[in-house]
Amino acid sequence: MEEKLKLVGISKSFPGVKALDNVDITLRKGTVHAIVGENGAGKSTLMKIISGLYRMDSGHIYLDGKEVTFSSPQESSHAGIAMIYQELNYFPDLSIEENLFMNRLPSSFGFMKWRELRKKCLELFEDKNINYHPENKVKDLSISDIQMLEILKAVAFNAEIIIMDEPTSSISNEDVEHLFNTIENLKKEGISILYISHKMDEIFKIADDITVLRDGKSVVTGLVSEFNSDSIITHMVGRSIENIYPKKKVAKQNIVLSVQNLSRSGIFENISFDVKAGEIVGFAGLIGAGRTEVARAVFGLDHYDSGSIFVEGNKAKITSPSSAIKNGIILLTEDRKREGIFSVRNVLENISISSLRVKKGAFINLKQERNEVIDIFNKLQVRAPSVDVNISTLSGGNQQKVILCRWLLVNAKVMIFDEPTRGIDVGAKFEIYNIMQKLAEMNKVAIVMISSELPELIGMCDKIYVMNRGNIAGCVEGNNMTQENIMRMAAGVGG
Amino acid sequence: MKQQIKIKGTLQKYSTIIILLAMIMLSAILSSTFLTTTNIMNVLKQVSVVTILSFAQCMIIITGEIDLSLGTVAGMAGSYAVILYVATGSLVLSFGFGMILGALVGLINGLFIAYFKLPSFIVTLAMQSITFGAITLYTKGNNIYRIGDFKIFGQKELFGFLPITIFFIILMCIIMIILLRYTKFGRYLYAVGSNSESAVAAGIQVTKVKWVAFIISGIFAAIGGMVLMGRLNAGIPSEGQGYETDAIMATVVGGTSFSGGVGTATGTLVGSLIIGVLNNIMNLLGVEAYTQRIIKGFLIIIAVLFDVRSKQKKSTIKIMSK
Repeated sequence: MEEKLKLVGISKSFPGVKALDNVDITLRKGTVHAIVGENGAGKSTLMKIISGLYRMDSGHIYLDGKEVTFSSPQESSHAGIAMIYQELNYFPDLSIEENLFMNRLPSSFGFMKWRELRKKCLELFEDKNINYHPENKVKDLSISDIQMLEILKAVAFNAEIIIMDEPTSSISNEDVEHLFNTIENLKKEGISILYISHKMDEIFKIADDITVLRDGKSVVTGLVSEFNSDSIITHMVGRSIENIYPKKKVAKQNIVLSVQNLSRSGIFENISFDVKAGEIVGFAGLIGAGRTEVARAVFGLDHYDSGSIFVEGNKAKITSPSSAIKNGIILLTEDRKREGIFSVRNVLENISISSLRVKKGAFINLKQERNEVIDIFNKLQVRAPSVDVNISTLSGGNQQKVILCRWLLVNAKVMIFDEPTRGIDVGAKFEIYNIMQKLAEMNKVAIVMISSELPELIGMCDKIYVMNRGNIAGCVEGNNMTQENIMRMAAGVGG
Repeated sequence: MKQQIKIKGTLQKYSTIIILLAMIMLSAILSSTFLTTTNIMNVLKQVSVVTILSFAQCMIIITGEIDLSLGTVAGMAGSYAVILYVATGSLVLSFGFGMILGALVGLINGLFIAYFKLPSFIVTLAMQSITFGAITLYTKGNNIYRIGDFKIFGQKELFGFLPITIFFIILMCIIMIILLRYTKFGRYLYAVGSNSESAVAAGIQVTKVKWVAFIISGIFAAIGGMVLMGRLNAGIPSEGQGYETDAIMATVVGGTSFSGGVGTATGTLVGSLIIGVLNNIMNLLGVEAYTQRIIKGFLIIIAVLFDVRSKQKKSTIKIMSK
């Protein structure tokens, strides 16, 4: 079969990181080529280079045997390459037909030709399994319907290559079947598909070829039939973990946090786990597996439908973060910018804000507040000229430490850290590991750690729960805490 | 480089005071009567109502919302207080009643804005209409004259030298400084306005904080309204209209950020003094009332421009200091 798209020696660096290093991929016409790798292996960067959103540092792209360069997504789209992003871009308040033809609305002298638009839209819908009227607003459709429309749009505009970035991450199992059928049909029409995923079962179902990316390199490539899930996982993980983690075992203590049968319909189901004083319990799983959602429910940021939460044996009624804090539970949120910092306020106020919640009286003792803040600020070695500077002038790692300072002043019994080291430099990472270890060891805090970086979970945790599609797929402890075991459970492969 | 940043920061911090001082100096040169004690006292008396309402507006804008009903609430609560005073002859009772009316309006504003999460612009705009209707329905569009001793809220001199209006400015300013600087509630106001999602995640009860802010805003509006009626020596519901825009102007000129999270009571005081001095000098120079409105309109645009520009500058400084 002929080569449709060929990538040779693609490299791309960002300040401080080599995102892609000499990547080779060949996509054959009318086939599905899966690209797999851990989070951060370089999959998204590669996709953005093909679409023309990023420019590669070196390498060649051949389309139908001819070398091409794309300097914008418009150019790649004209060449017949369509992207289906993980985050779908659409205008929720506009109709289906307007969304489908947004870039090519039929008009004369700037006036819309509505009738022609409707005609074109209905032509597109012909003998496709679509039950919606073109007038419906896109916000009333399900995610998978919108995804179908995106694919439809790609085909309608003569795409010969479709790149799908984890297309099943936000749709139901039923819709996955529907998606796979669509992909099979596309293949028959001679359309080639680059399928980015890290779910093993899907890859074996629909892919013809596979390339494994690790740390920006294409480590292995070949026919899917030459692999099994074990060999793929080994290739995906395949690096030695140095002993950089300050983890020490802490003697077993009483159970502090006990979550029982926590459920939220459609998001997570029957989640039960215990965390003892001084213990660090990890939560692994793919993005969208429900880890963050469980943490948010325990902290009262999201609601839950049923189940119960116990703190030191007493049932805790948690309806908001405010009540969670009063019960001794805190959450370091995943998105520091959106749900962490107060960007126009200074470091001092950013640190003390939550400890004010647990103090009595209406007034602030400014002197005591400053002393407490400076004390913890120094202890955590936040690098800032003083506590009076605006928090937005600090680096990401130091902002994270400021938020840690905030939660340390609350003296919580249970601390949940959601991706505590995301987007911060290596030095700051290890400082945060040290702080976590000290909290467990000295303060006997019960810690829950959510992370997408397996080495850090294995290095820091006493045991790790693995989540898959809203359920706890398993729990590993001691010598069973290997990347292979965890990946297998996370990807939903019977292990 | 660091030194330069420091000077720039200091200049920014005191920029409104510098503008006020410059305007005072310019006014003194332009008009010989400007710096007389009588005229200065006049300026302070004239700004009293705006200043009281500006403190409320400042607090609301800090939370990232806006209160467009301040003026009509002042007119309504002030007039009803006058009516109750004429009927009962009790200053305490009528003043208390006025404050309760203001609080009630704030409670309703807060219900829709904080609890039902409707945009404050729309809710308080509607409340403008509702409150004005609620007083004119009773007065049938008539004004109340012969208000007797109620006028002391606008005209009495305390201790023989301090006009009560200036006393109110000082009192409300102190209350607002304490509220914003020394209470937990004040901190929550800034946090909510800076990033309401972060505020929720930090354990702040955002709904409660906003709701209480609107109640306080209503009370402040009512007090301003009663001072206004005292100064007018009459109960004139329509006189409150338009004060909300003056209050926005004073607040923004005083350095409160329209995007929320930034602002101080003293800045607001300076802002309303700037507007007071501007009004005063234009009157002294015989500038026509219509021209005055044009000048004031441009002033608010320039103030917002400064606010936006200084923020843009801050981000470039950040890059340089790296």
